[in-house]
Order: sequence, then C-alpha cells, then structure tokens
Amino acid sequence: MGMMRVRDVMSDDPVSVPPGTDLVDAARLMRRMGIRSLLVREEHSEPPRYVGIVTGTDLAGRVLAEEPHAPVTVGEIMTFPLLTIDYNEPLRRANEEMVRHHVRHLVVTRGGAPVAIISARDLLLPEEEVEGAIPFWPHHLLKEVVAALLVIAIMLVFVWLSPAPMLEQADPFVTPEHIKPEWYFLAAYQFLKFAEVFRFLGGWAPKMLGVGLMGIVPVLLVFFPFFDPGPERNPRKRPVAISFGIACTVMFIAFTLWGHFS
Amino acid sequence: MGRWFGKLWPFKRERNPDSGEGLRNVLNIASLFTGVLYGELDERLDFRAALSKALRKPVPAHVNFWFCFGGIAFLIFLIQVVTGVALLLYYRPTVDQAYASVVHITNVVPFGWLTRGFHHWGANLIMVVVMIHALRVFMYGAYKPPRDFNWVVGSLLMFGLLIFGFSGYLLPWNSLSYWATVVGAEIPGAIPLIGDDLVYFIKGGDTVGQLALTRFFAFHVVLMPLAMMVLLLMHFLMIRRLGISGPL
Repeated sequence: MGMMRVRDVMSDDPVSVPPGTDLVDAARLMRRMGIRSLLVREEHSEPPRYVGIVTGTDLAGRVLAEEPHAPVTVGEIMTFPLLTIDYNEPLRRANEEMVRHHVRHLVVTRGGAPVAIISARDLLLPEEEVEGAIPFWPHHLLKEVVAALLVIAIMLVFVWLSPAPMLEQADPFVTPEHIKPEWYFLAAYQFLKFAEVFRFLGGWAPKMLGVGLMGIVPVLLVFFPFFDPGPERNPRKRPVAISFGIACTVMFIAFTLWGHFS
Repeated sequence: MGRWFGKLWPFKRERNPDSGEGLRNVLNIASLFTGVLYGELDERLDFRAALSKALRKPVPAHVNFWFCFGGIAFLIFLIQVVTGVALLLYYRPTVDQAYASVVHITNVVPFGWLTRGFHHWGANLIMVVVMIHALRVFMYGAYKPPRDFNWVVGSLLMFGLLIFGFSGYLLPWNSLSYWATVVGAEIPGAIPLIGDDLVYFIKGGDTVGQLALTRFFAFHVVLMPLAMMVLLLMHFLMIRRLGISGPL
C-alpha cells in the first residue's frame, strides 16, 4: 500500500503533434508548455493514435548534430514504436524499463489506452521523499479521515456520558464557597496561591512575584526557539532542553493536580 | 451608412454559426459551479494541475501517530466554529437573558444539547490535543530553525485558545463562570503600572456586569476567531513552505 506507483508521479494529458509538424514549432511548443517531450499522433486521428515520441534529446542529436542536412519535421526524427507501461505498475518497473531500453520517457497506459507520460525526471525523488513514503492522496488522507471520525466519535461519547454542565444562574450577591477556574488555568491559579510563600519579603511580594514569575512563562514559551537554536534535533542528544521540557511539563501537571485537590 | 455602422459594432455576426455553439456557451456557465476541476474554469485557471501536485505530495515515512495532533486540533477548531455559529443563532448576550437562552438551547432547541455538548467538550479537548502537539514538536526539535517562527505563531495560537476559553467561560452566566471571571479578571491587576487599567479594560467597569459580558462576547465571537484564523493561515503556510521536519 505504501509503494509509489507510476500513477502517483506521471504527467497527465500528454501534448501531441502530427508528424508533419515543423521541428522549430515543436521546440517552441515544448518550451511554452514547459515539457521535454511531445507525442506524435497520427494525422486526423480522434481519439489520437500515438505513433511515436520526440524529445529534447532528439532535437539535439538528430537535428542540430545533422546540420546542414538536418531533417525538418517531427515525423522524420521521432522514436517508434512507443514503449508503454501500465499506470498501476510500481515506479521500480518504470525505472527498469527505461534502463533496459535506454530511454527516458514511457507512455503510460490505462486499460491499454495511452493516458499520460512518465519521464526519468518524474522518477527523481523529491527531497522529503525517502524509502517508505506514501502519497498524500489517497493513502495518507484515508488515515486522516479515520482519525477525524475517531475524534468525533470520542467527543460524541463524552457529550453523551457527561453533558455540558448546567449550574444555577449567576448571582453577584452570593459568593459560592469554592471558586476554581477551568482546569487549564488551574496550574497558574495554584502557582499564584503558592506564591504566598514569598510573604516574608513583604506584603507586596506574593502577588508581584507570583504574577511576575507567571509572566515569564509565556515569554519563555513563545521565544523558546531563540534560546535553543542549535541544529541538533535528536532528543537523546539534547539532554538539557529535554530535561527542561520534562520538568516544565511535570510542574504543570503537578500544580494542576494540586489546584484540583486543594 | 449601414457599412459604417457595421464597422463600429463590436460584435461580429457569424454568417454560418455552428448551431450548437450558443447553447454550449450558456451551458458552460454551469461550469462556474461544476467546472472547477473539469471544464471551463479549470481550462482557464488550471486548478486540476495545482490540486494534483498538492495531492501527490508524498508524506515521509517517519510521519507517525504523534504527528496527527496538530491536524486534530484544527479539526476540533472547525467543530468549534460550526457549533459556535449554531449556538450564536439562539444565544442572547445580556445579563438578564444569557442564562435563560443557554437553558433554552439545552432543553428546547432541537439538538441544542448536542451542539452545546460538542462546544463544551471541544473547548476542553482542544487544550489537551494542542498540548500534546506542542510536546511532540518540542521532543522532535521541530521548533528549530528554519521552523522557529512557526513555533512562535503556534504558541501565540495556544494563548489565543486560553483567551477563547476564558472569554467563552463567562457567556453562560452561571454562578461558577461568573465568579471564576470575577477572580480571574483581578489577576492582571498585579502587573505594575498598567495592571489596574488592564483590569478595568477587561471588565468594562469596576464590576463584572453587562459591559463585561458584551466585551467577552465580542472577543469570543468576533475578535478571537479573526485573530486565530490569521494565525492559523500563517501556521499552515509556513508548514506548507518548509515541509514537515525531517527524520531524527
């Protein structure tokens, strides 16, 4: 399933010209379309019946090199018969075919009908593509959809088993006994309470130091990459950053739990 | 005279028109709706080539289960947008009616309980998911240059979620949300110099009342969604440009 196939990299809708096409026109067409090959189709055939192929290499080797008695039409220099490969074949097969026949272009067929071109350039792997890469469509997207449905299912179960709470209406004149913020603010809330230990420094200290230290957290979080810009990414080789990260996570969880149970 | 006029008239009259041509042009207008991928629009704009390039982009082999939490967070964000808009159709942001409208949504409006439940749980789950996402990025060192600015945007998004949570919490106007806001809104008061003004700005007055509710409502349904969408766009464009961080 993870294997890349011809259909994943082939170029659809091949451009074709009749055999009588002037070579200069053919070269200009290739430049305008940004392509390196043209299929040659039988005159007046509909749907087109492809009989040969002309590539940039042919223009150099069979035209320029033959001056001054160079051929003038596409039909004179085209390569035929066409080599084909089914769109479902793995890329490795396309590679083998090209090597075996000393060519750089194959016509891709689907159910025997030509539908696309695959060139040696299509076989060059993009930078991020390494062994085992899977195409986004449809393989990766399928996984994403499964994950999304799973998330929605989990949410549905939560909503069903534990509906959104319905408490009594707010009354500005009646203060409830235990006011606690939502769980994701609990750690900060508990830390502010914890900052009371600084009271020995003076009455100003708990609030000032608590909020001050709390204010460092967002700054540290937002600008963390600039404190730790080294290129090493392997977690085993950056013990300081990883220990710091784990310490912060543990602190966050500990203060959250403390806030919850206090 | 007729000949002169004929030269000024910008539309050529075809003597021998292809009889189907006119009808075909009319039908082609339909491709405004159907033809983005196949038909007239694609011919002009070449969406299909762009789309197929995007769809064929290979996903590297080292991308595993832990890489999916960013996408899940975005999914929950979208769920929050949809359920939030649905709740907005029935919610009334006044001190007198906010609580009653939430009760109405929960008990009377068809699937109101479900919509509100999803919004409630989405708000909590997105926090968990985003924290796991941030931890994954941290552990994989994916915040390092050239992706350092995307970490900045990502952590701003996280603080945006906190503001979302804080502002949305007050809207049902129940006892807990009211008093949590009263206490929470005092915390910035400890900031030197601007603290008191900041608290006044948040509450819209000396106490948490109608102005605070209106203000939190505006933040929750207009300002924060806009800000988040801009940040999300930056987040995704940077991922698109820089690609997923490579294997370790």
